[in-house]
Amino acid sequence: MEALLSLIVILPFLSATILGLSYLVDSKKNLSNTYYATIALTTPAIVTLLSFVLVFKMSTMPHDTPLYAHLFDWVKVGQLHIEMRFMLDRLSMIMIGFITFIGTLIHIYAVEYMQSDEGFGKFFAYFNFFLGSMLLLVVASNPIIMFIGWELVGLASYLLIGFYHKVSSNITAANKAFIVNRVGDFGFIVALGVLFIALEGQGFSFEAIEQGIGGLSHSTLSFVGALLFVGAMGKSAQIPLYVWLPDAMAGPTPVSALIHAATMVTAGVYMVARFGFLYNEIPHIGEFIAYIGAFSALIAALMASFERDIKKILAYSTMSQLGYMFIAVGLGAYGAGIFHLFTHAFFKALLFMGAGAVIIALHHEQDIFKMGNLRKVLPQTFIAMLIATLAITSIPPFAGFFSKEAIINHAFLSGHYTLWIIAMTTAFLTAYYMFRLIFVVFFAHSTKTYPHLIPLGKMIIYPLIVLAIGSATVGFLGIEHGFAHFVALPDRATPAPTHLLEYGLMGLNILVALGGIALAYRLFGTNPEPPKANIPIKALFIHKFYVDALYNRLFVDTLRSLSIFFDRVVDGAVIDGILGLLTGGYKDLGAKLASFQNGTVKTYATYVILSVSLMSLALIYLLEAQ
Amino acid sequence: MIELSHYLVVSGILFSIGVVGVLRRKNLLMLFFATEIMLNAANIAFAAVSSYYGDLSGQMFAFFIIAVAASEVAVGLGLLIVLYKKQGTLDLDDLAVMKG
Amino acid sequence: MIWDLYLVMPLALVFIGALFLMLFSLVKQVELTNYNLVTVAFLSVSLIIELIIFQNVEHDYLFETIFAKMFIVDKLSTLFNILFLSGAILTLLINNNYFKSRDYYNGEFFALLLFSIFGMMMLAHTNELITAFISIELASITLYVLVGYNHHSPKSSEAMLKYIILGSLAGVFFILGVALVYGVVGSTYLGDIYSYLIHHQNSDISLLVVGMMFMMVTLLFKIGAAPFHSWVVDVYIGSPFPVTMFMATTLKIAIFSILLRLFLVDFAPIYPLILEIIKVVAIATLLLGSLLAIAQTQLKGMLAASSIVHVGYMLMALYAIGVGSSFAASAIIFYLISYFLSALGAFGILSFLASDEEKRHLSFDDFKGFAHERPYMAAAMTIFMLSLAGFPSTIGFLGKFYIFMSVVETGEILLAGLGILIAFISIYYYFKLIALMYFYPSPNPKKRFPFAISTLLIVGVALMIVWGGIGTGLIPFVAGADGLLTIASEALKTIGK
Repeated sequence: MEALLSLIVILPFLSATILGLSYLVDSKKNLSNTYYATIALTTPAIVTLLSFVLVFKMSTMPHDTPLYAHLFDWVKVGQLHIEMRFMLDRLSMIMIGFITFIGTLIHIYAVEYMQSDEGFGKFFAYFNFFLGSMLLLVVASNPIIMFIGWELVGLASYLLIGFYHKVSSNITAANKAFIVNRVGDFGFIVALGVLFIALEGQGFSFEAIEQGIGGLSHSTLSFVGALLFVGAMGKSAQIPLYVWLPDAMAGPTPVSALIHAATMVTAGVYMVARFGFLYNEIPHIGEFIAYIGAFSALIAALMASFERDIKKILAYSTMSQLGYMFIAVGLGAYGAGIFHLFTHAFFKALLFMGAGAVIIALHHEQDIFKMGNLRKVLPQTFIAMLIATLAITSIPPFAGFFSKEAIINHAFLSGHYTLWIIAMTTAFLTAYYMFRLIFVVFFAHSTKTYPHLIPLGKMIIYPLIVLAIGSATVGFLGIEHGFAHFVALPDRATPAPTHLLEYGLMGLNILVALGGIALAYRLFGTNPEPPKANIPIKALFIHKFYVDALYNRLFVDTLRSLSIFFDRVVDGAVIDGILGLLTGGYKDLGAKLASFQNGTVKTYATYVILSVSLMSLALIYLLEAQ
Repeated sequence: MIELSHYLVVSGILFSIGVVGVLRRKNLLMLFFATEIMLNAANIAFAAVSSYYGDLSGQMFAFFIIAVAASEVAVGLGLLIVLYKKQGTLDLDDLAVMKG
Repeated sequence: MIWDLYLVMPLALVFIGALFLMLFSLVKQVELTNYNLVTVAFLSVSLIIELIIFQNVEHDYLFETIFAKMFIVDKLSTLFNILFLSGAILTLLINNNYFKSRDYYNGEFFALLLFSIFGMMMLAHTNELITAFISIELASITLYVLVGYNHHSPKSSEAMLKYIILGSLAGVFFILGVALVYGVVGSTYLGDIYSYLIHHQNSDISLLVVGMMFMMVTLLFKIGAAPFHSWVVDVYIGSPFPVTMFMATTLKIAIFSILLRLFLVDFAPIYPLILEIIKVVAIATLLLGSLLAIAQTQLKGMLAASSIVHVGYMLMALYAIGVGSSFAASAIIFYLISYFLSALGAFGILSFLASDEEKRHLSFDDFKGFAHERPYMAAAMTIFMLSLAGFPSTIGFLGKFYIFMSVVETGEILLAGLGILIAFISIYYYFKLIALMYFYPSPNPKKRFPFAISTLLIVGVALMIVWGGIGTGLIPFVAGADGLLTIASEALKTIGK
């Protein structure tokens, strides 16, 4: 079992290395795509199989006995003892289960999607690396290893977002993702540092931290909790660190699917859930998280409602759904949050892959207002996308209904009515913008034809079907809180609802969703109009609240002028000047010294004897002084 | 009566002569002589101390040191011949191409 | 008796190998490579036996009935022997091409090299001052010859001249020191000196201290510490590449083996008296060495001068031993290993290029655009330079880190600060080479990577340096480089008092 767990992490890295090396060595492009695809697909398939075996075996065991796989001691200096050790409990088990499964489907899909790309081998090396990093993050048994996974995920996303590196805007997008994530990572690492110092070397694995935090002061915990969440904000694209997410659409579509469904953005939620024991000590920070999540959800939904790029709509919807998850984990409903994470992985992967299919079929067209009537030409894609959309708009019995309802109800039942109202508004908007997408892309312009449509291959369609089945059904796992009980996270209790209230809330949710759909149909059902910035409030939405511009003005421009100042004045004149003097002086001194080395052996001998005499004199002095 | 200290003083004088030789002499051969003198100064000290303690090992060491000195000189003389053949001089001031 | 025979086997093998090669070299038709291989074979067998001995030995004397306690065998001596042997093997194999490209090498060269190693191994075993002297002289005299081995080159002869005169001058001080110690104690056994010091704590021991300082002079000279460093650059530049390599790496380790033994055990009680001198020497070595290194125009000269700086770091740790650092001795051994690997690689590349190409790659300018001509070699060279500069993720970094740690442990923050400053300065001359290699266009077309024993070993050494830089066991099932530190401290434990 331990070996299996280690293999799950090691295999993707191994195959990434093999792929990367093959790609590097094979400069003449002798190796076929089949070679790369075989390696690239076998690994996630095996890993999925392994993780299913583990899930099967583990689910029969009691939840409080996690499986550990100790690989080796990594650092052992003083109190700092970091083991390369993996942990598999119910939470990480769920995570590896869907990460590997959905990851594999995306891999299959990507084989066809990327088939004509020159960097096919490179792409899959990165892809496997991405998967491996995420798995490392998830099964880490201490925060340091988790942080390594965290950073590797950031690196992999950077490489993949900038994969089409010949276009400079893509590089900018990759840089943006990387830099914004760094801001978050800074919070994470500072939090770990503070936590480590505060724990005074009582060990630094999760279980040791759990035992140790009892002795820490409330303010320390709040500080750590807030900083950890800054890390989560960066990875999971929450206000104010979300700006990278829409730009990250610059990468190939399978990358977006992987980032949004199985890896990367889920890391923040996972981390908060993993530190659930800590957040339970500091509920006010949890509330803060929930509010950040709620506002992120709302604002993302608003922006999605006015976006016209199909992938960016989906990107904002991810941010919005992540907001829901943060509401859940912030309020201590970790099980519900992870459940939504789980279902979201299915339908979001499906949505992205469906969108990718559309984009490919239409020769890389991404503006939804240039599409329409695709229901007739891409029927399978349409059905798949429809199922996913129904899931995300939480229409029963599709997956999203169960998970989102759990979150919204939790907000209501725990008495956070503001959050509940925001969540309901967002749910309405979600239904609106998602069906706007469906209507515009698949229904509108019912006479439109596509003479140059590219046919879609099996490897694109089959994963869509599998995921569609998943999106339709996985929600049932959540009936009667079955999923939350299974995951066995330290949820904070809420008063149990009466049946009437429960059904009432459920009905309200469905009504709100239907309302959103109806509005979307009214506006876009037949004859859609692209959004125009004709009134100020709409302009605000369309321009994404001018946040990018604000950040540019506030941080980028300031930093740039500051760095110009440093470069020209401080560095150029002051530091270089002083350094120049110093190094110049040192070099002159060296030249002077070298002239003492006049090359004659007698001079050298004189130096030797002179030095001995000097040393003897010093010794006499020392002995006298004694 | 000649005591240990006398021997040691002789040894010290001899050593100083050697040092001055190394410092002042310009000829390579003389330089070897000078180091040889210094080694022998140490030998005298060894022999004297050995007889003072009645411990034979000191005198044994003196022989070892003579052997070591001899081999050093043997190598040195070999070098000397090579140098003389090539440069035609043994003046140390002329033998300096490299200036560290 | 059988046990003693077993312990003496490595020494005996090297000695027999030397004699064998000496006779063998009379046979004219033997190819040079075969001499090299025979030498390596002798050394390898010896190395294997040493590795086995290292597992089993604790604290023993060689043929106690015959030699009394002259030769000690413990883990420390064995560890050092392992280092000499592997150093010699690597030196010989990496220079395989070089030997073939020069016409002045013959079988005797290898015999002399083996004698030198024999001397060093004896030095590691020695437990008595006269033996120590003889061993040092044995190692040195053969090296004198090796330095002047290229009898066509006036530079080589000049280097030999400087080395032999200054070397024998410095050697005299050792014997003078021994005479003084013998005069006071009446014995030259290290153990006797120690017990004398313990039992005569109140009597006047000035003469003994003076004697110790004189011995110190010789040892400092041999490792090239300031102010006895003036010979280093000239001799290194003048000697043939294999010899420079051998001197820079193996000889230094040998001298440190006796330095550690002397100051860790036998002179430990009076060591504090000359601590101030050691400190000044360490600082002077660092400063003068880095000044010299900056002024060098030849690559070999730069490496030579920088080797002085590296000695300075180890002297810092030697000082820390005296102040009471528990950890400095192992840090020195680790540093020796790290320096040994890095310098070996750097010199190896130079020697390979000198053998492979008509023009001798010696000055900095010859390396302009080198990365475009030979990318793999340049990458390896970069690793060596990074390691020498103590850049993180190389073994050189860990070496410096441990040294600074041990110095900081004793509270000498300023000294550690100076060391770090010097390390920064050293970045200048190491990175100069890296910059030249990468930032200039190459005048020559790209060349293929030549597969030969030398080049493969160079790459291997480069990989080891990177492996060492990872430090702890990052790679599962492979021991990390800090395992070396554990081995060193384990070895140091067996020296006893």
